[in-house]
Amino acid sequence: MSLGLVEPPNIQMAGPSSVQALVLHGEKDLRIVGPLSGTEDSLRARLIEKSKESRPLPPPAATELQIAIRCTGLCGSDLHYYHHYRNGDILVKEPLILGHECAGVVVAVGAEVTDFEIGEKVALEVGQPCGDCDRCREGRYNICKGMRFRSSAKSFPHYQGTLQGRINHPAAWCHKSVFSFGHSLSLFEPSMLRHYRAPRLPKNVSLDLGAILEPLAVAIHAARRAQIALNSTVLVFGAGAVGLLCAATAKASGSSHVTIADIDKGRVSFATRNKFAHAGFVVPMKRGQTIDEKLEIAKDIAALAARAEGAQGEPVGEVDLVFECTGVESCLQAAIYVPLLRFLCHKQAADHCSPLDQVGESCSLAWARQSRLFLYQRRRCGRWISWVFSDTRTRIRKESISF
Amino acid sequence: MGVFRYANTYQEGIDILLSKRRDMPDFGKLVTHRYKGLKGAQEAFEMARRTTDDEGRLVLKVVIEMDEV
Repeated sequence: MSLGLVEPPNIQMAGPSSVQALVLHGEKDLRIVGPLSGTEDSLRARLIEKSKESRPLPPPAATELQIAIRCTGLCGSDLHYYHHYRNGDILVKEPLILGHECAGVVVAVGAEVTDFEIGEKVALEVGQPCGDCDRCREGRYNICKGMRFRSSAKSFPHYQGTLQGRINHPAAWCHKSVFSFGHSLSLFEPSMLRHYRAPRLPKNVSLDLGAILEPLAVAIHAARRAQIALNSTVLVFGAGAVGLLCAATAKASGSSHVTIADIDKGRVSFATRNKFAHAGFVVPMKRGQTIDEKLEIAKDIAALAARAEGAQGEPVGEVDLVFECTGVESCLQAAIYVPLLRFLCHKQAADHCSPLDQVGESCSLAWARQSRLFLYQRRRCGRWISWVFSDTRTRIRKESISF
Repeated sequence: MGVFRYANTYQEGIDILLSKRRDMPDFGKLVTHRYKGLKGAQEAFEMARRTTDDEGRLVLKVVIEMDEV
């Protein structure tokens, strides 16, 4: 079987076939397994698996689609696994296929799936919650304890990622309307699974967009949790993919002015030139040794943010919300100072607060009790975690336990 | 309150991606580097950790595109 294979139309009746996959066996140890074309076989020995490992793929189950993966974006967690064979405290326990930001084309349809056809483009939502726990029942399946997420080593056996030729995936988690207007499907709309039909796909739509949908989903979730108010002002630290998407989502959610900050001038320029943010500024690279030095740097950055020019050239001044998308200590500390510019007393109180270099829940909670709404987002174990605080203790206590 | 991944966000994402608002960005521009096939994966992973490529262009989102089926 070669890469240029053509699926028989009645694949449901066929036996297991083998797919090409990119398997991580250790730090920077990527191996292509499965059927290879002649040219690949000899020229790329470093990537070729020597043990003749194969990845069999059975026909799709009744409620599944078989998807030929066409585009997978690389995420920070993929890079963590690639470089360290672990992601924070999550250790890889068996060879792992990476990739989860993806889109592809339907090549086979399970017997009970009626609303997808071979050849349709789909974007995949690759997390599989249990669907039965309290969290799932309240629609917060992202924090389902039984969640299996492709390319994550959290669950075992690992739910393998999308850097492979084809996968079988539940039709309920395949979204096709990214390529055409219409409804998407979710776990909680089983009736739509039977009745929904999307318009045909425009031929010129890139599957890149389907892959972008996954990191965009992260930004949307953060924006929802932050309850961005109409005409609010937002500051985003970090102009990488997540920061840019958070900025654009803040705009889409009604923020009237989004400022973005990064140490890289090129990224800031990209963000403002391409309408991801209204304004931006470059954060100087500085590292303090002592807590006092670090806090001074953070205050300087916060002051820079306040002085950054708005749409009409006026200073941004105070902001309503800060999204911290760098994971860098000084930016996280600055993100705490910025929204507090409006609350001078709180800033003074902060000077007597616990050390900010141990930024974490307890410290931020102490701050948040006195602020009205505060969000920061940081990378933990390669994932983006955001915290939003509002002004009542009850709310803080309740919300601080959730993710 | 914390946020972890996402739930029920794809429809809104689709709406944002397809938005006709003139003040919204072209999200396709986020994809700055493309690699063809799994054979290009190692190079893709190495590029994804960089902020600029050898020509000085920004590296934002690196994607691996698979062959036509």
